[in-house]
Amino acid sequence: MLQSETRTKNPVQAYRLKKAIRGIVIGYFFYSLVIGLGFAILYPLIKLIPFVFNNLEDLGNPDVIWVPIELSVDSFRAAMRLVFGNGLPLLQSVAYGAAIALIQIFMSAIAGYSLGRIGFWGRNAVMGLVILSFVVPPQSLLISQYLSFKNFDVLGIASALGGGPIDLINQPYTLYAIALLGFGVKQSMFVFIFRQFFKGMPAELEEAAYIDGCGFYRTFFKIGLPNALPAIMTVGILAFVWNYGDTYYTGYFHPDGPYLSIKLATTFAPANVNNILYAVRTWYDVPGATTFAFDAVKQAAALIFLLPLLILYFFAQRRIVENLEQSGIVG
Amino acid sequence: MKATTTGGAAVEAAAPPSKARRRSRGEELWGWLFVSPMLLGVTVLVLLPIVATFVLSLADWNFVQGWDGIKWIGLDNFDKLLRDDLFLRSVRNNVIFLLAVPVYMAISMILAVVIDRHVYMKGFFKVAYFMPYISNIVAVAVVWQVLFHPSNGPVNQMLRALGVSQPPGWLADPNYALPSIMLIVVWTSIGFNLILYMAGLQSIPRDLYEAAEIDGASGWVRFARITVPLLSPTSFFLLVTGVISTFKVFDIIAVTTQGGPIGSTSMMVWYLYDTAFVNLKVGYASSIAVVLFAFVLLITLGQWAAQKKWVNY
Repeated sequence: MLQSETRTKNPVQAYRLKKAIRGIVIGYFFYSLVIGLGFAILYPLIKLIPFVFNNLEDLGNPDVIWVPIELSVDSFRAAMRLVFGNGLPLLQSVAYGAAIALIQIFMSAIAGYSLGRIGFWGRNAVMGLVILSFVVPPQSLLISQYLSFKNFDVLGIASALGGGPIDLINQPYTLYAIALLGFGVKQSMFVFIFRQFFKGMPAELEEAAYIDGCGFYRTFFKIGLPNALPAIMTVGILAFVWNYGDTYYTGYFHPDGPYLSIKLATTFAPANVNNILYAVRTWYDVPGATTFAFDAVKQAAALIFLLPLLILYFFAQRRIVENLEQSGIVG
Repeated sequence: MKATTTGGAAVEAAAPPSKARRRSRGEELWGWLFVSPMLLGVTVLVLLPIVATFVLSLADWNFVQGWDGIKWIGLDNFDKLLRDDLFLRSVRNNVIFLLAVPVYMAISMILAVVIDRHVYMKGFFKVAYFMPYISNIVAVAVVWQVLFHPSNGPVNQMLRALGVSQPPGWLADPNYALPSIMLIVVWTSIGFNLILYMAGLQSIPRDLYEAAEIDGASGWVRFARITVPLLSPTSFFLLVTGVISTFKVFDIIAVTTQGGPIGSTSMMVWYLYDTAFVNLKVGYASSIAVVLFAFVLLITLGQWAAQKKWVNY
């Protein structure tokens, strides 16, 4: 009895102490979890950097882990010479990615607006088609798509106009036409994002515009589109990133085009290892360069290739993440 | 509650203002106009090819023979598929690959809760974790190949330093190649899943947690009884899209292993591609595509049907 009375003050303090200790332990645990995993996530990207700055002959030296013994930008110079030339291909690829992204934004926005906002007859069937084209792996349709593009002749229109079927493969405009028809890289996902966004937008804004006498398309351009900025930014950035790095559509419908993604893949194909090593050895006078030098040049090229994306991400990172949160994909 | 909503709908249906009705007819037209480019594209680029795939799956046809070389053989292709070891292996690999989805969903959900509720510098961590999603898979595969290099890759060097005398060969080892690719996919997927879970967390009312805390619920109970059920719409979305995306895994295999070593990373899409564009057997490849469609559609519909059991809206 006596004992418990003397302890009545202590339990409160003990409780507080226990809580504080628990807080510190849990906090420590959570921080190490988040930072540790974050490091693991970023490690492959960070690891690119010291490797490519190594002297080409030091590569594979087990003593070199983080800090190069002798700084060298030879792997960058080799990558520039092999893939990027004077930088024009980079600009072309960026411009291509941006142009397709713009087309995809507009086409998915109008389709998404219509699907999310208007109760037209047959809307569910159209939505079903969007989901179908999202679900089906594109490679499984490639054979038939390729064949129909090789001899493009919908309902015999081209033949009727004279000249027979058109070969759309390897024409620069084919990729733009595909994007215009709503079937570019992951376009069904973009339509879905816009549809979800417009569905969740308050109807009052549009009603006010209608009452003020705006027609349908004016309401869309004055109210719908400007208010969809989060969705536009999300789709725009994802579309740019994926089109810039796309090897699938570019590789099949315009293989001879100036796309860096394809050039990167073909230049550093396994069959080219010896050619590139020979070139590197003679250009930079490093006869001891091994296959590690090939890896370094390849990684340097990958890093330069990623540069536009990294710059974009650096400037817009917080916006990208916030917009994706707000775009309301779920719900 | 229900009575009032149906009542409201009835009133609306009974007396629609004439202007609104006219507008809605015009709207219907505009609606069709706005979806028409996409509809045309989906018809030409998805529906017709699907039909063509079904037709071609009944034929034995080689790409280079031209239309004259086509032979109709009925269901023989499917019969052959059932006895094709590499195809069966690809199907099995696809099924194994499904395991990656719950793994990255669980990691993302826990990370999202920890970052959202228990850590400062939220923004920084979100941005860091999202990074792999925004970088390009072809470029990133280059890095992973170096990391996983059997003798000199940092991963194996570290394992050796820790005393593992025979570390696995990762992408070059038939037993580890598929898990390695799954690991890369987990790595790229965490960012997107994490962000969507974060968005889902914002919509959970704070007072639920406060009420639970007053009732004496521990942190774990609050997570299991409030957070997990209320995130179920997000989980459902991520599960459906995640499962579908495992059937579409292609780029990473094309860049790293090309289905090897000895078929250990061959997935249905890869096998289809290899059959059609390397071996040029179009008919046989089309029958693989048909099986693939069946898998994807059945799984999607099945998930939709099961949704009622565990998703709270």
